[in-house]
Amino acid sequence: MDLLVAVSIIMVANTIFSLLRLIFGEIRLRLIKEEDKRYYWTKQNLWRFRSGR
Amino acid sequence: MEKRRTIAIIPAHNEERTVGDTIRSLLNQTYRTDIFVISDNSTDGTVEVARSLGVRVAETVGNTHRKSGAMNQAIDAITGYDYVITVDADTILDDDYVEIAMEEFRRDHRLGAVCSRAGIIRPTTMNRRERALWHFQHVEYAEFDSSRLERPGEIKVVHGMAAVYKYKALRDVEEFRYRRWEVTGQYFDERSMTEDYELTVCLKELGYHVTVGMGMMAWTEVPLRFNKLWNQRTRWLRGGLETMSRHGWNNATARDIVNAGFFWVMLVFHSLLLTFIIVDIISGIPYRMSPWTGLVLLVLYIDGVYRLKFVQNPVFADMLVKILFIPMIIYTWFNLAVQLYSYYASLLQIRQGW
Repeated sequence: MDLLVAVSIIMVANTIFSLLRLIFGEIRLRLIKEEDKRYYWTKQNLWRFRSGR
Repeated sequence: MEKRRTIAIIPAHNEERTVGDTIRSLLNQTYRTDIFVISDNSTDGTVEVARSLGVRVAETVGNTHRKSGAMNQAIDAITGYDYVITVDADTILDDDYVEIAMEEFRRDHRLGAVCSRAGIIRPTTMNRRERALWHFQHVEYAEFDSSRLERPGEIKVVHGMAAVYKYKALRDVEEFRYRRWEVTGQYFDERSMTEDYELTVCLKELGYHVTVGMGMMAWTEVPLRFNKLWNQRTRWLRGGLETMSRHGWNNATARDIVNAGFFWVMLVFHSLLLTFIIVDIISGIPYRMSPWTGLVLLVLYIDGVYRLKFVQNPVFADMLVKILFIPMIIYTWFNLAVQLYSYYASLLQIRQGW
């Protein structure tokens, strides 16, 4: 059981840090300057539709 | 803006079905680029399709090192370019791919390479099993994308499906390999199963920056048969392990080695989870989840569902993979099995399928 607790703590910590990094990454993208948005933001409309090949 | 010369190299082995679309996506770029198809031992109409679209075409000579060997021969044959774009022959680029890459290079003079986000192409026809595998990968590629956004300037790998390299950086890597391993003409490592990751590590060791252009988008095909997917994933993971082993612990590999160690933590957790479930079933008592297991699964669930927003063109089946949770756990077990086998195959030097 101790082993389970140890790996659980590592997994929870790792997943939460990863998720927080992602959310901060998204916030950084939203805060960029207007003239930069063409390069950093236009493809961030995350629900865009593509027909593919 | 100063005009920089770019060339797109497309290594192709029997890609007559897809190479035409790849070339057309390069011809449509808003930033003009030359195109060079290097056919590697093709026996189908790859060369004819490429020639019919009016681009430069050559065939490899005596190449036994697949994509790396083809790329090395192509790079040796070009002169006068500032940037080299490598594109797989089953990949399609958005029209502003090169333009945005050039902007990334303009903003960071130490940038050695930039790759794109990755989407996957939906085939027009799929049977039920193929469709299931496609949806798992569709969601998974979105996770790859989201993890790139976590640390855009510190990505693990400039992926090989579509990337832009500074030509000088490639020359520096070639010289670096000569000094370290006394091999010549190897911009891409011909021993490596994951030449893109190996090259990324070399660039980092040389002090170059690597990044992902979050505005750049490329679309590729994915394996729809289980054995092909297994081979692809073991190749990726084994190539990664062998690259880390060859380069050892340094600034370029340290984080990757620590992350590789995390696999064992996951393996222990999922093994315990599976063992407890099976023991309880055999004992005839209902499975009682420990609070710790529940906490981990809850956090993983929240993380998985949140990352759904990165799925390109999502459909209901993509949502089901994450929302039902059990498919996600089963796919995690598949990935753990792949990783375990990769360690085994790497240690025993088992011949690798492609």
